[in-house]
Amino acid sequence: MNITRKDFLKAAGGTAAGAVSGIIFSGLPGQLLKRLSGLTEEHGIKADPGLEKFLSTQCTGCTAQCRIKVRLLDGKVIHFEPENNSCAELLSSLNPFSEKTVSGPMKNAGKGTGKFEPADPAEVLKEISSALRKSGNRTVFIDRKNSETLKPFALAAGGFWCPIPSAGLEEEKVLGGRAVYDLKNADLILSLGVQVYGGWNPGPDRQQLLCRENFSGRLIYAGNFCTETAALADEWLPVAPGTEAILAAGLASILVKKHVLPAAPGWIKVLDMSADQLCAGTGLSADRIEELVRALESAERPAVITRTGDTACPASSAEIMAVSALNLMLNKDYRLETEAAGPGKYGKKLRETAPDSAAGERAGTFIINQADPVFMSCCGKELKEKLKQSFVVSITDTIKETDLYADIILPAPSLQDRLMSQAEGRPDLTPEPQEWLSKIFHRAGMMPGKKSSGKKIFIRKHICKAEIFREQISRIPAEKAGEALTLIPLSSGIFDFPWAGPVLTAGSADSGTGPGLTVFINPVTGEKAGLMEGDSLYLESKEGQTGPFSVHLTNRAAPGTAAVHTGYMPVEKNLLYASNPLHIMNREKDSLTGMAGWLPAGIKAVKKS
Amino acid sequence: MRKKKSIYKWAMAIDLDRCTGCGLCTAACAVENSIAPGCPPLSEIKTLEGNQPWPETSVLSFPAMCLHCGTPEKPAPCTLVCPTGAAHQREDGITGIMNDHCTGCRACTAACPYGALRYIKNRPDYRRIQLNPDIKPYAAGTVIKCSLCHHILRREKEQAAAAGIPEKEFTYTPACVSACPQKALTFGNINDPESPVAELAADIRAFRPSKDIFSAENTSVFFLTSKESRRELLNRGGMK
Repeated sequence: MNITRKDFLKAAGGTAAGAVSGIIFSGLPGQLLKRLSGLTEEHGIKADPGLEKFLSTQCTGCTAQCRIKVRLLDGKVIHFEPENNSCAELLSSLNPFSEKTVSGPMKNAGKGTGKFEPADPAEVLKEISSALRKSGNRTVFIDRKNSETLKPFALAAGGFWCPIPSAGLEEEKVLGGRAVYDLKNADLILSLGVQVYGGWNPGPDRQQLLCRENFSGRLIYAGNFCTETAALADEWLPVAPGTEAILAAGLASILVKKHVLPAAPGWIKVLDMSADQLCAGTGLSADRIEELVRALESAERPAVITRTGDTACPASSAEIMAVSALNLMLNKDYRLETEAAGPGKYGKKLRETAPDSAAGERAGTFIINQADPVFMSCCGKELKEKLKQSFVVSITDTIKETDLYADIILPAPSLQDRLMSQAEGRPDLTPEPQEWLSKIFHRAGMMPGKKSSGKKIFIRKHICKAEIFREQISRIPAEKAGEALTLIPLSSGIFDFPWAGPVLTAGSADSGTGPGLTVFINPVTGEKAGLMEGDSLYLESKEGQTGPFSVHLTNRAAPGTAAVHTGYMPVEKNLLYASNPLHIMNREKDSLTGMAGWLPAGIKAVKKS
Repeated sequence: MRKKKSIYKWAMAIDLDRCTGCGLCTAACAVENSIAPGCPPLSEIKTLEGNQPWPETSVLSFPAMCLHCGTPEKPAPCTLVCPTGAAHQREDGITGIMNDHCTGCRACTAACPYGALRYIKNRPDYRRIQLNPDIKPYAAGTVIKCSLCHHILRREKEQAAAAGIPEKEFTYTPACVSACPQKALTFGNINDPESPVAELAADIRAFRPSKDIFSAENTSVFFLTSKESRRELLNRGGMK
C-alpha cells in the first residue's frame, strides 16, 4: 500500500486532533487547573492582619471561670476558642445561629404545642405584673441550677423559692450546711455513686478531681453499674442498687464497734449494724468489707463523697446523714459551710420548696429562670399538668420542654451574648433575668429584698434524725421476685448542644449520645427475658411507662437491673423519643430534701410489638 | 532538588488512664472544624466493653480518630490508594485529605485499618452552626478526616514568624488537646527530644494498637496505659 504525504499528514493530524480532544474531554485540564488553583490543602480565608484581633477573656458560665480566646474581625466577634479546661456548656453557647435561640418576648400560641408568637415587651410586662399582683404569695419562683437570682423576688412576693437541685443543696437541707471537702489532698476517696471520672461540667468540687494530675490518692468507687469511673478507679465495689446508705452506716458502725472511732451522740443507737448485716445489705463479701475498713482506718485524710441530684436520682437524707457521720469520724478537717446566725442573707425568712414538690403548691403563677423542671424532675408529669393550669413566665435563651407550657417567654442573654458584649466592650443587648423582674416588680408595686452580707462560718456537727434514718433504710429496694428488674439511673453528660446533630448521631451508646435511648441489660437477664441486642422495649413501674429504649446486652450491667441514662437532653431528642426514666421513679418525697426519686424495684420490661 | 527534611513530626499521646470518654474533645473538634449536622465527625468516642461476666468486666471509652500512620518512606494506606492524590502525607507527620481534590471514590475509607476516614453522604446543614473562618466547609460526596487542626498550625506558624519565635521552638495545640479536662491528650513535636510528647513516646506505658496492617510503628497518634485490661480491650476491639 502506497502512503502519500497527504495521507500521512491526514492520519497524523487526525491522531493529534483525537488525542487533544480526548485530553480535553477526559477532564484532565480541569483537574490541572483545579490543582493549580488550590496549590495547597489550606483553605483558610486570609483576613487583613490589621482587622483581626485576639482577646483573652473569662467564661462566666459557672464558678470554674475558664479562660477563652475570642477572635474579632473589624471589632466583631467571629469565633470563640477554648484555651483550657473548656466545657461543653461553654462550647454549646457559642452558636449565634441556633434556631432555638430566643431573641425577644414571645407569647404561647397553644400550650404544649411549641408554637410561639412575637409579643410587645410593654404589653407582656403589664400582663405579668398584673398576674403577679393577683397570685401574690402563691407565686413559685423556679431558679436555674446554682443560681440565687430569684431569691430576693421570691422574698418580696412572699412566694416560694424553688432552686433546681445541685451539688450541696440537699446537704444544706439535711445537714444545715454544705460539706466542704479537700479532695485534692485526700489520700483515699470513697465515692458512693459519684461519677468522679465522667460527664461534663462537674462543678468546682469534682473539677479538683477531674484533672487526675491533681489527685494522687486512691479512689474506691461503690456503684452497681460498670461506669468509666468504676473502670478507672483503683477499686470498684459492686454494691446492690441503692444500698450506699447501708454501706456508709455499716462502715461507721464497724469502726465504732472496733473502738477505732468514737460514735457521735445520737448515732450510738442508730449505728447498730454487724459486718454480716452489711454484707447482706450491700451484696459485698466479708473480705471486701474488711479490706475497706482497713483502708479507711489506715488513711490519713480520707473523704467519703455521695451523689447529689443534679442529673440522676438524688441521695436520700439517710445517705447524706450517714456519709456526714462517717466523714466526721474519719477526717478531722471535714467541715460544713453555713451562714452565721442572724437575720439571714435577705433579712427575712425564705419559703423554700423542691421542684418535685412545686406541683403540690397552691400556685397561681410560676416564674422560671432558665430551668427545665418538667424534664429534670421525677414529678415532671404532675408539674406539667400544674403548669398547664397556671400562668407561667419563663426567662430563657433556648426553648426547653418546660417552656412549651409557658404563657410568656422572655429572652435571657445566652453565655455567647455575654461573652460577645464583654469582648466587644458594649452593654448586653438582652436584659438579664433580674432586669426583667425588676421592671415587673416595679409595675406590680413590689420591691425586691436587698442582699445583706451573709457571713460564712464552718462548723463540725453531727446530724442524726434516727427515725427518718431508720424509715429510709427500710425503704431500700429488697430482693425482687420473678422477672422484675431494678432501675439504675445513670447520669449522662448530654447538654442542649448545637453540635448535638453530628455528635449525637455518631456518639456512643455508653455516653447516652447514641442515636436513640439505650437500656443496658445483663446478657443473663436478657436471655431469661428473651431479649436480643437492639430490641425495642418500654420500662414500666407503678408510676407509669417510658420508652422506647434500644436494648444493649452488656456485662457492665448487674443481673436483674435495667440501667438507663437520665439528665440533660436536647429538647428535640426528648420530644422525639418521649422517654424519660425519671418519670418512672418512685415519687414519694424525702421528708427532709423534698425530692422524689427512689429506685423503683420491680419494674417490668415490655417489648415493643 | 531534594526537599528539605522537616524538623517537625507532630504527634499526639492519648492517655487511657486519664481519658474518661467524656467527649469534650469530639465536641471541640466539631466546633473547630465547622462540622455541621449531617456531616460525620472527624473524631468520635468509641466504647469497648470487656466480655468477662459482671462484676469482673471493664469498659474503655476513648476518642477514635485518624492515627496519622505512615512516613514519607512508608506511606499511609489511604495515600497509596487515592487515585487523585487528595490523600497525602506531609513531611511533618500529618496525613491530610485535600477536600477539593477528593472525588468521593472511598478507596481510602476501605484501605484505612482504623476506620478513621468518613464519607459525607448528605449535604451538611451549615446554616445551623457557627463557621470557623479558617476552614472551608466540607462538601457532600467527599471524604474527611482529622488533620491535627493543620489550619491552627498554619495560623500559629504565621503569628510565630511575625513575633520572631525561632522555628525550633514553635509548637501549636489542636482543639481537642485544648479542650480535654483530664489533660489526657498531649501534643507536640516528637522530633524534639525535650518535648513532653517525645518523653511520653519513650514511656513504658506507650503502645500502638496491634491491629495495624501497614505502618503501625509509625503512627503519629499513640496510646498510653498502665492497665493491661485497657490495653487488651483496645487491641481486641480495635479502632474500627
